[in-house]
Amino acid sequence: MRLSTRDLVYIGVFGALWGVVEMTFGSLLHALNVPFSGAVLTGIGMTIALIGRLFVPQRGSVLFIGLVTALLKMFSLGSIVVNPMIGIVTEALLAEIVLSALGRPRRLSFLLAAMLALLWTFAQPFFTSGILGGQGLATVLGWTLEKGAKVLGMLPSAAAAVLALLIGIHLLIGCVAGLLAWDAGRAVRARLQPAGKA
Amino acid sequence: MRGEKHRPGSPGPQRLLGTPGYLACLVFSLAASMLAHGWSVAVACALSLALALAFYPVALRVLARARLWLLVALLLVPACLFGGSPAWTLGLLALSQPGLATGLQMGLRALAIVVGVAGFAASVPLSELAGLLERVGLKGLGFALGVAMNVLPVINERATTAYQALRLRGGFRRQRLQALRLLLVTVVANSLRYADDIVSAAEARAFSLERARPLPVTWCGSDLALTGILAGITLALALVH
Repeated sequence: MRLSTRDLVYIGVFGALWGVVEMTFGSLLHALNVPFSGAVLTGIGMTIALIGRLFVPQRGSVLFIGLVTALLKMFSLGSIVVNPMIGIVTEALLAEIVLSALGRPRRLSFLLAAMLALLWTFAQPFFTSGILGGQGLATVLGWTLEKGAKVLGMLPSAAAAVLALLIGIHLLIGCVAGLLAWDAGRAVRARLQPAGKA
Repeated sequence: MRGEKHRPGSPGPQRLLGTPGYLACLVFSLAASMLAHGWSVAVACALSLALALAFYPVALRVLARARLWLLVALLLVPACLFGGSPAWTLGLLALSQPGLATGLQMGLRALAIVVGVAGFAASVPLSELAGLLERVGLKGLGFALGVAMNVLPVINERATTAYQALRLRGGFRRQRLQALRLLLVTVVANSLRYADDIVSAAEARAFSLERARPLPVTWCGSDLALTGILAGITLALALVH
């Protein structure tokens, strides 16, 4: 991967944009206890990172943006940020894998990248608390079902329906993020073009 | 200096280890707490706290934060209540002995990780971490990180201005989704215009990634020895059942 000075500056700026969202909007969403706040936050972050891919169309650029955001988060807050850092880097990595596999940036690749990243938001507690934290996958599944049923107003006994709805909502947020990134990215590009070329 | 507030990411008044040494402490805190089985996690946590006391005492300030203890309580209480067959009763609540043990182990694990990460963030300057990452193949990350740190307040300010301008013009009264999209486009476009100024400034100073020297990393004689000792302890903790 050969990155020019412009590419690096753009990566820094998109990393900072995602960082600003994490630090301001993220704190607000968590303080208000908004349901699916993690998914919404990831959706916004992914939208920014994918717009970044339109302006830095190089392999690895989304991963770099994610790394910059994770490091900013680590050094700005400095304490209980291990989970968000794992989340940001893994989401960026998954999106990068999809984008690199599908080649030139397209609407479909943006859609799939964002959906996969959002799916990780759902799966992360199973990895961090269930496997790394040693609580076991069954325990985390129980907590997820209980919390999900409460948010969705369903009975925890309807486990399959609750799980399907939770996954569906995450995928839907990913779908919106991917489409928004494609649409907003092209709008930004049009706005930045000189008047004569537009 | 007395009374001076320490900023995360900036070096403390005196560094006892080099950057690789601090990195070894971070990796130890993460690996040992995750690989230790059963009550071995208590040893991992004690060693993590001892490392903090010896090399980055500023990290121990995190223990005074209510948020950390809330996190530990969130791990402990559900495990106590739902972690297995009840052994004791506390009023109406039935507490589980294996659940309490699991909860305590999870709390100790969280404590070790949080202190390790806080210590690393407080001891290693951002430029040195970037230099370290550049040496492992992520060339240019240091420069991008530096740009991000510098533009963060500017972007925050411009995003707030754009939001206020849009709100004052009634942008969020109707078609809120359209207004949010417009806000996103405005903020990204403004940020990229600012980025172009940075690119011009860097090119005017003949900055080039190929010619740029990697950011310096501080080494200390004891880094290697400490890394070896910590790797040995981690291995032992992982093997003990």
